[in-house]
Amino acid sequence: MQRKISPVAQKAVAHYIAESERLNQACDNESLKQIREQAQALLKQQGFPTQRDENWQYTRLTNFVQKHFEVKPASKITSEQLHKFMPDFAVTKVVFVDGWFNESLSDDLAALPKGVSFESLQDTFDIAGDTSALFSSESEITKEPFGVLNSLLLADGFYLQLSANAHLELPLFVLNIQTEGQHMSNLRNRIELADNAELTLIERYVTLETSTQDNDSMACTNVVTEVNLAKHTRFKQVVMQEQDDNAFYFNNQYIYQDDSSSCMSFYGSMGSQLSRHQNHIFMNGEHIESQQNSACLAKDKQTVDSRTDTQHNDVWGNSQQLHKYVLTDHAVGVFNGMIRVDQKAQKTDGQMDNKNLLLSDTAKMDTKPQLEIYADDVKCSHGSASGQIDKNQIFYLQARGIRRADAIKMITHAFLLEPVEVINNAAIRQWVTARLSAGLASVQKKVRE
Amino acid sequence: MLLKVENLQAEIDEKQILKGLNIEVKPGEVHAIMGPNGAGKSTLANVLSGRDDYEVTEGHVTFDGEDLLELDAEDRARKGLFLAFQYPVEIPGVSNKLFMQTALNAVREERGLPALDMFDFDEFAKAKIELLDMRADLLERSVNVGFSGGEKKRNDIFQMALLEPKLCILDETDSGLDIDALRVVANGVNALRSAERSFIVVTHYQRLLDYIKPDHVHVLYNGQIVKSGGFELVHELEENGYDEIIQQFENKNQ
Amino acid sequence: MANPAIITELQPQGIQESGQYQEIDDLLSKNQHYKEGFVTTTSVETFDKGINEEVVRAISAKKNEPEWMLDFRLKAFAHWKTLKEPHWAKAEYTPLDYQDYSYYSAPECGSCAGQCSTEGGTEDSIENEIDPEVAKAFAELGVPIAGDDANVAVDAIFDSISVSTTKREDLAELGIIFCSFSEAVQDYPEMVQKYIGTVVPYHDNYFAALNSAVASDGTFVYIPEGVHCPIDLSTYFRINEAKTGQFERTILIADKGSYVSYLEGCSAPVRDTYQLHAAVVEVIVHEDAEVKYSTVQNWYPGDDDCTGGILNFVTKRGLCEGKNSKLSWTQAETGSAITWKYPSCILKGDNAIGEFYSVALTNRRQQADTGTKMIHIGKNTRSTIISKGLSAGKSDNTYRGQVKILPSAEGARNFTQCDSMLIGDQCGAHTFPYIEVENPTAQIEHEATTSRIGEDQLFYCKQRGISEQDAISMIVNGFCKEVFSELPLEFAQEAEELLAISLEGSVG
Repeated sequence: MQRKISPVAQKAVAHYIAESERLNQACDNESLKQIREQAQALLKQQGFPTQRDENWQYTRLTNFVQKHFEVKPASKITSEQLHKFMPDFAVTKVVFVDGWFNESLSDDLAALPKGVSFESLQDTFDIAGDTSALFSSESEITKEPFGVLNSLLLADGFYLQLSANAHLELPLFVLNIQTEGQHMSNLRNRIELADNAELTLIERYVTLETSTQDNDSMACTNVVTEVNLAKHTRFKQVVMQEQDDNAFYFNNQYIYQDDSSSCMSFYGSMGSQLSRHQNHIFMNGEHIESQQNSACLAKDKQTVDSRTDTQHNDVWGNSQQLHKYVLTDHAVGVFNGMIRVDQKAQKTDGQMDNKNLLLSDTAKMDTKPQLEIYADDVKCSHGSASGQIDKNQIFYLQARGIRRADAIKMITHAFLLEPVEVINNAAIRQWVTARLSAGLASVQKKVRE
Repeated sequence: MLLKVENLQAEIDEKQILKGLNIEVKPGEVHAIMGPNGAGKSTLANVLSGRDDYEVTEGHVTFDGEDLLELDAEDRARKGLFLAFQYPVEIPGVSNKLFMQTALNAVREERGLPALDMFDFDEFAKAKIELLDMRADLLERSVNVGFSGGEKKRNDIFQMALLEPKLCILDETDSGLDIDALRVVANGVNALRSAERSFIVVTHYQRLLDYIKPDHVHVLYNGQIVKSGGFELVHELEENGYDEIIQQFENKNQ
Repeated sequence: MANPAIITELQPQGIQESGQYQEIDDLLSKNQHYKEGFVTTTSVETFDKGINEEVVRAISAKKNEPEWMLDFRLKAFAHWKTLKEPHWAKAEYTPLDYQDYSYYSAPECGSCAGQCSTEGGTEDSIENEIDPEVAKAFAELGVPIAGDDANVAVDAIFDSISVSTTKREDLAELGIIFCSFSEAVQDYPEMVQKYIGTVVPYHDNYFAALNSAVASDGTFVYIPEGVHCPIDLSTYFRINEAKTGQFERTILIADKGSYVSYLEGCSAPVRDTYQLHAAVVEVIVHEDAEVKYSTVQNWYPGDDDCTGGILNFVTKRGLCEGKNSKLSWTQAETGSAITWKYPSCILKGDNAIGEFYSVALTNRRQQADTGTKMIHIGKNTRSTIISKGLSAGKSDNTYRGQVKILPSAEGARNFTQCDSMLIGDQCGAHTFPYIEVENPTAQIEHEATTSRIGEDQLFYCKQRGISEQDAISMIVNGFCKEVFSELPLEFAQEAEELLAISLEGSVG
């Protein structure tokens, strides 16, 4: 159906279609061109969502639509410049600069263990003639407006395959770094784990240099990741979004799980003026475990949006979620969770919890924890609570001699970090804790005043 | 004869559990059925009380002259067969009072007695509460909700006292009870013993049986009674365990 | 609600010894699914099907309305034409043909050709005024329209018009106005004009606009300052004519420091085409006043596939205008093919309290999408939402609720609990809460659970000699207890029985 699109949005649509056409002119992979063309048609039809769309009523795209991000070539940076973004434990490093894979800055990926194959998507497109198999969930992805935009500008990302029983000793650390203003880092990743394979993946999204307030330095990252988990696979993922406070961040993850697979996905969000991270989990087998946690921190006029759509499609599935938000200044927090239990999915256990702390008078939290249940022998619940720090808690700590400001700090800290406990690798957990603590410290300086 | 079980065979999910079980219970008798885990003890209790997850494939059961297997679970209960559950179920929102008044009046209807109104029921129930040392607010609380394991078991015995059944089947009632709770349960059972009322006590251990001295003891193994005897069999089992009896049985069958 | 005295009056052979619910039981045996499913045959004046400006003018003329009321209708109609029928709720229906409905239907009575109802009447001559067939219909439903039940005053609405309002004089002594909406337009025009559309504006939504254009009748209640209304006020709605829409408009005003408990009950005969019910209710609660608004909704749900059932698209909203005002909505919803209903509270005055207690049961192919909105504006405003959804058969039952805390609502509190129970494996239970918090001092808690009537619970009951039917009704009533305890006693009893009837045959 043709929608009414505002003149401002029309301009943005025209801009992105022109970008897409430009990419297509320089491309000889037919299946890739086709994907982009389909997306062009969809974008022309739909434009960008507005507040009238149920899924966007709390997440305003006004600023985004006014910007016209371009897909530019990557700028050159040195490994010294990267150093400060690396964790203090051993990892296998993969670097993307402005959305383009950088081989020289990454570890030697040819040396990965047997059964593990890593390719940049650009290489895959260049080598393989028919890449249509890579787009098996295209119809699902283009249901999301930023999925459409991702297909429209599709150019690079990674394609990671683990064969049966394979696993990586070290966590795979994917660093996504924005260096250019006005730029769109458009990433499409695909991960496939064959039976009994195991992977620990860390993704970090950063900006090379913190920008000043001017518009020219703003950049945007738009990611789509598809994860296919075969039987008995174990997938652990940590995503840290720490881009510059002017940036935009969109991420849609599609995770397909088969029998007895387990998936743990943690999202930590601190940066960007507008960030939206969305998990689409399809539990298409028996005895699947799925854990999704997030810790979101927002200040100034940031909008942080985290959402999950968990589809229980078979028996004995177990999904657990804990999402926590700390908001201050004029920040807006949005949580939207859906647990859908198919008629076939008896014995489902689905729990979703969302808790929010508002540290200022002007912060705002919008939350929608939803259940849609079609099977009768299930255990499902959701809970949501929003409010200030409990005065009694503060007083209790004060009564033990702790200064008020420290008491607030301690309580807030403990509140935000609870979802982190799900990360069972101690080194990774400590690293995430340190990142979030640093973020909190900068927020709390303001609160103390 | 109150209960006569002949060649009872039953299965669940197409797996045979009872493989030709025989037992006879006369009014006033107390029978203990003992056996190792997986012998079919709970299956027997469930089949006799009419849980429809189990399918009876062979055999006959007569209860007080009637074909028991033809009756629905609630009709068995109304005719005086009571099961004390291994895991009593919680029913949120339904008070013990409403639950037991409804149950008692259903049983009374079957016996041709008039229904008890709220006041008569209260009086009747209060006496039993004291007998079993239950909390005074028992009747106001929801059925088994927020009860400890021991309280749930005692609540089942309390229900037994109210319904005055002809045959009481106690399914692992002792499991999870500390010694004090065990004594309370045993005292309750002993107080209910009479020349007309019979018991089948299903248990893995002897400790409840020290308090409720059974007249007959049966060892259940692999879906059959492999040995029967008097109270002395309890102590034999206590000393030698099940292995010896099972071994004897296996040898005989070879 | 039942009143044996009236029954005796109408049926001299008498059944007064039998219990209060005898007549319901009798009806039940006639139609085990829907006890109110009889049709009343009487001479009726019904407009031709279709809607246009002429129809709107004709309705207004028929009711002899003042100019401003006609203007209100025409504005609403003009706006309605620009709107699209909404289909966002979790309920599917084929778009309605609004030209296929009649927008006015009223029973004629021989003596005064349909005028008496709007002219009002005295109670002692009730038999002369009310069409005997209509009176019989209400009697069969157990509605005491003759005014001899001491504890309740009743406004009975039959299709488009109010046929009787009882106890009016007694109430008038206290200054309470309790009359049909049409009468209020005639007798208290300045008051109706002051309040109509202030809580639910005509442009609020599609069905509110339609209602504002073609509003048939309804109830008007005004409780003066400081008056504690000594009896329950009650409206009983009945849709009788086929293909007739009922568009009642109810306005309830509780002035400073007053109190009233208001009840409404609904039913409709068995038909094989959808009947439309699009009501608007506006409640205004002033300082220190309290309103309890209870509904038992048992509109005809249709046949086994819910064909022919009522489409119940209702806008109910209350404004807690003054300080310390309190509005409490309690509803038991068992009927209708489709229900969309979100009784809401705008908590404007400081310390205002809003409450919503709901039991919604769906069976067969019924679809219910119901919940509430609590809009917190004033300081220290509080709201409580307890919603119990029961789904059986192939039905879908949705809770949809919004809690909005505006920046001004310092110290606001909300507690929400929505529990769903599934009975059978073909039905759905859904929870869609919208929580918007713009003040950090607010405390919001939301909890939701889903459970079912388990085989093991049923077996436990059966082992104690309780039949499956009794066990189910025991567990269901236990599940709903928190809500039923908010209903006036007789209503609670009726609601429990409705649940039992609606659930018949849904398990096993």
